[in-house]
Amino acid sequence: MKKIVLAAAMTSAVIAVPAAAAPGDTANTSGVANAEIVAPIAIVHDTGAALDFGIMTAGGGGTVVVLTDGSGTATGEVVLVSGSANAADSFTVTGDANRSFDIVTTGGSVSNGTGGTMNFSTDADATGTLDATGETSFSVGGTLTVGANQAAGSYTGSYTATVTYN
Amino acid sequence: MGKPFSKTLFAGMLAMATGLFATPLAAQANDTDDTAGVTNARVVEPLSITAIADLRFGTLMRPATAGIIEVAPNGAVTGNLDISAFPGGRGPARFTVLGERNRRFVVFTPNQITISNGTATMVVDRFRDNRTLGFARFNAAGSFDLYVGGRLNVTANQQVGTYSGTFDVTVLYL
Repeated sequence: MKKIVLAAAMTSAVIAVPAAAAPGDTANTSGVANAEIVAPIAIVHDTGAALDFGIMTAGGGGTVVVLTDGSGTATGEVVLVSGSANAADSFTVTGDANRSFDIVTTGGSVSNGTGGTMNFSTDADATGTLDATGETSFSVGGTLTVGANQAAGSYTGSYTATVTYN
Repeated sequence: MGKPFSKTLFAGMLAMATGLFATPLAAQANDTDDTAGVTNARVVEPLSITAIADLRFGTLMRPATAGIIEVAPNGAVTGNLDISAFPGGRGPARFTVLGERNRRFVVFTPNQITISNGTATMVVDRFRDNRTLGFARFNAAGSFDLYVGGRLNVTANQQVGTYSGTFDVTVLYL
């Protein structure tokens, strides 16, 4: 009985030796781990907004240019008729406060539904920055190319706006 | 049966021990002799470890479903979270460990820690370092660049914010 107890004690002592290593045999410090979670960026087309090239006569063709402030001008033989109103499109972006993002807008084409089409390009700021509440908006203008003797009618189409954190 | 015997034996041993000690003390001056002994001592550099860089998981977009991102000691980034919007800014923690040249040592890191933004937390686990074969070895100059990676566990709709936490790293001579 006694021998067994003694043997057990000796074993414990042997195992304890590494754990009781002399000072200087070990060193430790603290590392830091960090990460940042940000709200995803989201874009919503403002209800009722549209890139509106207005009402025009085609003549021999030309373009209608709408700036991001909504003002429109015609070039070539295209004439904006009296009472025509132009408008820039607008989007609302939400996400992480004070973070900047890139804006990409595509061109596209508008159609009158009976085979007539016109192409357009769009124009927007290349970047934007979310405000302190994590929200901002931006406008989109564009250039519509009107063909010579373009068929009369009401044309409509769509394009894509993409925002990406940068 | 055994007890009296043990006592006797103990007493005998005590007597012998006393006698042995007594002998040198009783020696005469001209009974002494001396010779050269050999003394060995080995002074080793104490271990030290200093943090150089943090373990950086970078910026992540709040996920709709839980996910992970793991940074390996060599800087490789893996995981199932979308990091395309924030491709940079990730890396393992780095420490400078100083000690006895060419000597081996082991590294201890926690099983897991939590990092916090003040109100919400995330778990960091799977700490890995750039030891090979279970230990690291100091170079000929007595230093070692220790890199520690880990895995960040992000829960669904994790609260936005900047998260930080600390973890202990201990090095031990083999």
